[in-house]
Amino acid sequence: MPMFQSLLLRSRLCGVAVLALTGACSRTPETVLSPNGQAVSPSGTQALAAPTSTTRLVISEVMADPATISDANGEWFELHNPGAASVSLSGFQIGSANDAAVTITGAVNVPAGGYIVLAKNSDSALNGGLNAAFSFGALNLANNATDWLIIRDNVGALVDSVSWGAVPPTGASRAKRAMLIDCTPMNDARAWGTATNSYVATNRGTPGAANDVADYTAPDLCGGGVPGGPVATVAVAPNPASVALGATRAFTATPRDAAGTTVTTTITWLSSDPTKATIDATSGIATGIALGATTITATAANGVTGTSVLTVASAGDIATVTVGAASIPAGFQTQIFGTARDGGGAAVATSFTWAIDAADASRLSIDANGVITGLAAGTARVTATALNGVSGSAVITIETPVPGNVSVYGNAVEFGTPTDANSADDFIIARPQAVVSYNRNTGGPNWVAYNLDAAQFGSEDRCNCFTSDPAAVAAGFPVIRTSDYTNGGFDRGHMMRSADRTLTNLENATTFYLSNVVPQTADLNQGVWASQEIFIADLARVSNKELYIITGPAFTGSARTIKDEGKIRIPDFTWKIVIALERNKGLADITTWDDLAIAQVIAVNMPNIAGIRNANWRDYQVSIDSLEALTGYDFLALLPDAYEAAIESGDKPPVANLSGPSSGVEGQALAFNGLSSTDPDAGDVLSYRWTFGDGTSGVGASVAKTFADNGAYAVKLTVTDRAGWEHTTTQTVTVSNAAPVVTLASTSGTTVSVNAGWLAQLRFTDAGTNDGSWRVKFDWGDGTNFSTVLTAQVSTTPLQRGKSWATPGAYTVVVSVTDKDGATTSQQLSVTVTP
Amino acid sequence: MISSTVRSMQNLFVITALCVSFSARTHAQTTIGAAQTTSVGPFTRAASGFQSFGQSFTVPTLAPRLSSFSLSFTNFFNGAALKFDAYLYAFDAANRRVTGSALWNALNIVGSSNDFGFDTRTFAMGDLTLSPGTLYLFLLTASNQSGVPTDAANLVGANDADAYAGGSFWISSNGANTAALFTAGAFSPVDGVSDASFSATFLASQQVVPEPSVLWLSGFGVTVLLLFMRLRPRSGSQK
Repeated sequence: MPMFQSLLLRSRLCGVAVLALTGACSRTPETVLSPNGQAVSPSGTQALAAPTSTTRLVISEVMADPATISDANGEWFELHNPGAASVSLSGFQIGSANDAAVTITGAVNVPAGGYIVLAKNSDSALNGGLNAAFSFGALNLANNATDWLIIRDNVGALVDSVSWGAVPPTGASRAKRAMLIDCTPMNDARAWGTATNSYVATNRGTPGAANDVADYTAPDLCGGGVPGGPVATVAVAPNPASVALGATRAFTATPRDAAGTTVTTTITWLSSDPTKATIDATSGIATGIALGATTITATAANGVTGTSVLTVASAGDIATVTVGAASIPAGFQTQIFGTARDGGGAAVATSFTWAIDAADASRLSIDANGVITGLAAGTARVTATALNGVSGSAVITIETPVPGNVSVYGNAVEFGTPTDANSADDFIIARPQAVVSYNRNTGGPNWVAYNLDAAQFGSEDRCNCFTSDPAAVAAGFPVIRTSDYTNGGFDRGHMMRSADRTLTNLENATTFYLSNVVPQTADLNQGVWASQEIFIADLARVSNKELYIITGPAFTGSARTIKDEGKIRIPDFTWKIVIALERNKGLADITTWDDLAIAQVIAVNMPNIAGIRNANWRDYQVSIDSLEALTGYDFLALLPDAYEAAIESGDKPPVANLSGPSSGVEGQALAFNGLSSTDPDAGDVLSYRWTFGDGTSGVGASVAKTFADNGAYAVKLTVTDRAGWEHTTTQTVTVSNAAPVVTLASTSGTTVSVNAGWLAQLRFTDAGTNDGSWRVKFDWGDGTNFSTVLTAQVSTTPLQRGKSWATPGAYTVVVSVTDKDGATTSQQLSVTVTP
Repeated sequence: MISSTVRSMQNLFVITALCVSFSARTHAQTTIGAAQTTSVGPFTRAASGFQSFGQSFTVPTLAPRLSSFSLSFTNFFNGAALKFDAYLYAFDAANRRVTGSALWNALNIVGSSNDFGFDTRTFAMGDLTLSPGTLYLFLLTASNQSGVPTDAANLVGANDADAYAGGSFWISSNGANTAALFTAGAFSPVDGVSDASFSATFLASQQVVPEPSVLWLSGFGVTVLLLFMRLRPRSGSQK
């Protein structure tokens, strides 16, 4: 079988010893005993974790694929105790991918400095002659690249673990090299080798004894970290650097191999101009000798170098200038800043002259305040020059703006465009991402409306590209720049949250238009307002709601502006209205009070003050009516007036509860009441309306109803609160049929002569007053009958029917009445016919 | 009484068939009808009854001239005799109402006081030309008979099988308000009763000229019928 030929180091990242060919240190276990002690799903990916146990034991050898001996008999692994005291394994657990954990029971000890073998089968006659201290039975060491093995102590803490990222060799164990075996956790895959000596015919390994794999010869491997490849780069810090005359500056060098791994090497330091500054060749500590600059070079043992420019300056004199890098989409802006430091490294206040490399002018522009505007995708070098001529530069990345799929955005003003009495200061900027009412007089929005649901979230980072809104600029309004906020004492507070538009860089950038921004105190913006924003966003992202949001500033006090420049007015409050519906629902889906009751309405108004960072946003909930009074805007105007009035007042829906029988008989009075109905609003008095499913209705908390016919009826109770909010509940009542009540009489007595007239008189009533038509049959007892269909009950004057018999005898006259539902009642009279 | 009525109707059918065969040259007449199998009521001014009954019918295409309409009645309550009025209206079955003006009427008709059986009333129209294929309602109403005691009521002979496809039986509890009969939904069907037992006689709209073959076949049929009647044994002579 092939050896582990391509073992790569990765275990340092995982914090455990890992044998791996490729890939990150993630697993796909199907066991309840995962490396971090948590249950893991079969499809999950579980990173191995660092040992947490105070017990030091090392998985020192693993035989996963014995030759000639079956896996069921020949699998084993070895534990090594590098400590000075014996370790009892009682209560320890071992686990492997896709296997249930096995708990070690009985007296199993690992002697100090010793080794024990744990075998799948402890029978030495079957397992290849192993002297196993414990049998792990059902646990399997798979012959694939994805298995792993862990051991936990008797309190569940991780002792050691190992995974194999390649197919294990057949007929040979994988064993830790001798000099690295105590380096727990030793995360270098190169700490493992393939055993060379046979412990049984066809199988190599050293079960229960020191391993025989070749040792690792690199120095300090155990204690100094990971050996890397040849040094490819050397980074020197700080760069640039400054130092005062006679003072020292310590430099550090970081050598890395081609893969970017930090490696160990010997660094030699050198100053290009010792007359300006000297540097200790070993320690990297430079000393300022004379005003001027020198280049500090760090050279690795293989000759690879790195440099930094060291300026020797007097204290207070600008020695270095650094410029912050930035990345913005084309068409957007941000402000970049320079930092000047003196020879002692202290920041020095200065102003800068900004410039862009001529070759980059087509891609970026910059103004005197360092506000850059991306013109075209690419990179551009920006240079800041301090008053003393010292300069620094940075490379700015101008990204290609990537439009998102704007079809995911619903109607931002689904419930109506807010309007107030003065439309002159409402400049509507409608974009797919949001609709903004921009106020030229305040330098910010009156309101921002937008839709939000789970489909609108992506992974784009915030661009921090606060940009003058081109629509406002084109309208000729005073141009608001991000620099107008700088050093103003207020955050640039998003109204539409940056994190709510993250599909692409362009989608996110639109939230950075300054038409979407108002000055907010840091405590508000980063504290209670932010916690409210997260709650709202989670309604969409986690709870899968469809949100319609309107938010903006409110001004109540004197007209304060940022830096008293008269450009950007500081609001006294910022407010928000949220209508949360079921996913993909909108205004058209609110057609009933019950629809409205499902909608979650949140309205907040927060003071733009300091000291509320840790406040509970729920404490700032208000009614929409109060926000309308505060701002002068009419919100949610497209809702039917009754609905709008109810939710804007903050009224909560009542809950109708119906009590009454679920069955009865036609003609029977049934009592219903809604007395257990509730309303969460204190003082709300409910009114009650009933419909009974037969076209009739009633009012009042308690009603009596008599159904005229049998059937199943939907009895509905609708309760209405003071604001007009209704709620309806329904109970089905099954009404059974009642048979007619029949009375049969005769005015002719019980004896009549042959061929003489005999009159029968029928009366009947039916509790089911709608049970007509009734089928009536007179059976004269002589084989003849008379039948009729009656469309009304006969309760007073009787139905009279005459009969004469031609033959003497005794006759029984039977009259039956059958209602439309088939219920029949009969009555009879005996008549004697005499000659 | 029921069997005699049926027998009469059978005879009428035979006579009518013969008239079609022999009189088509000068005028044709068609009879529609349904046998009485039960009765329906009460038809009365009383609160417990219904004030208006009607039987709808479709005018034959080739015989649109209504000559007469017959219905049967029997007493319901043991009271005074019912009085009612009869009308003919066009009928809107979809909206269950009469439409237009009365095309014919007969007022103050005295109903049956027969407790033992049915009396047939035949209403002669003479020669009332109607629209072929159109639905009409022969309407009885006691709504305007305010002087009749409330216990005066009749049952109307009816047919509870779907014997007549061109119309059906309707009732209306319209009280004294005959205008209500013109509103949608004024009339309702009766559970279990499809038609009144009625007979209507129509005349052809124009003279029918039979084909020669029809005359030959008719003559042949009459000859066979006469021979059959002449040769049939007479039960009386066998006693």
